[in-house]
Amino acid sequence: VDDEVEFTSALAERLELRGIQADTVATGEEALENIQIELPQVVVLDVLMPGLGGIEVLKRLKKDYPKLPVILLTGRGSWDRVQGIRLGAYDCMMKPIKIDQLIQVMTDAVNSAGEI
Amino acid sequence: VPDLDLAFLSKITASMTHELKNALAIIQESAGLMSDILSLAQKTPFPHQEKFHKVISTIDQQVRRGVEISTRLNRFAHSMDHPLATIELNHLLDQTAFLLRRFAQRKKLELTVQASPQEIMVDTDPFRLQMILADGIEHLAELLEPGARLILTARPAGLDINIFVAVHGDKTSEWPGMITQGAILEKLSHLRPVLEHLRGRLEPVETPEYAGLKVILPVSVER
Repeated sequence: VDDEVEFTSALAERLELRGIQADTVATGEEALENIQIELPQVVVLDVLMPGLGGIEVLKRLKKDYPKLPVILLTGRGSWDRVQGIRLGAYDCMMKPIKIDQLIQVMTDAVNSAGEI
Repeated sequence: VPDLDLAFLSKITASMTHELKNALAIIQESAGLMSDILSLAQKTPFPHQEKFHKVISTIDQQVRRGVEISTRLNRFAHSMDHPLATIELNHLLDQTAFLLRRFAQRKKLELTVQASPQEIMVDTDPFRLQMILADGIEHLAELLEPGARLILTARPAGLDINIFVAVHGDKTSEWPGMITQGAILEKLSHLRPVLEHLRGRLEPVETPEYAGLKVILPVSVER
């Protein structure tokens, strides 16, 4: 979930090349709608977005789907990380990310949620 | 009087560095995708394939460089947020050296930090302390010959902290008298009000191994 659509589309393609199906949306509102239709195994969520920001989306997801692991992406640093983890994010990664690291964190998050 | 101008500068710079990171993230993922596609096409070689890999690797390196610069600039912007903050000095010296390395390189000087083995916490104005250190480094750099080694070090000293900005080496006799005799302090007299604001002072320092400036700060100040 990121309003930087060039970022999400390239990232989704790279994940798919590695056998991971990834759906992308550009707003927090769209993310909440899509999740109601189909629950993903893990959500990767940008913190700073116009409209519904990542932290607010995280709060709502944790309320409605407490077991759904959420990984935050931020360009801002430690403050987002501390707040995100406190609110129940599985992890918070700094942009730009390394795809192998992201996949590792996603796998760990899914495993810890008991989905595999 | 609140530092409205600094707060404004900090806010805009922090916001722009965040945008810059978003742009770098897009460049990195796009280059990564190109690299993935090239890897898929490895079995069917095409002209200039190696050149593509090389260019992608250069993009990747420069993205990392850009991220480091924007992260440091973001940290610098946030150093203006609070006129009094508790900071770790080894980190602040590392940050200052990073920000000034380009100035040092232009003079062909080596600028490094000799980190203290333990954390050194201090209550101070991080932005203005960086300003004092930067000014000291620039004035020392003006006096030094290419190849000289400038080292930043912080050491606890009772209720104070000493920060050394000094040229190190075994050619003390060749160092300009301006440094060894402390005359450089006169060149930095404009920093006096800033030092007073930090409840600190500036002294010359000279030993057989190094010579330069010593910034003395209290470990803690009343909030």
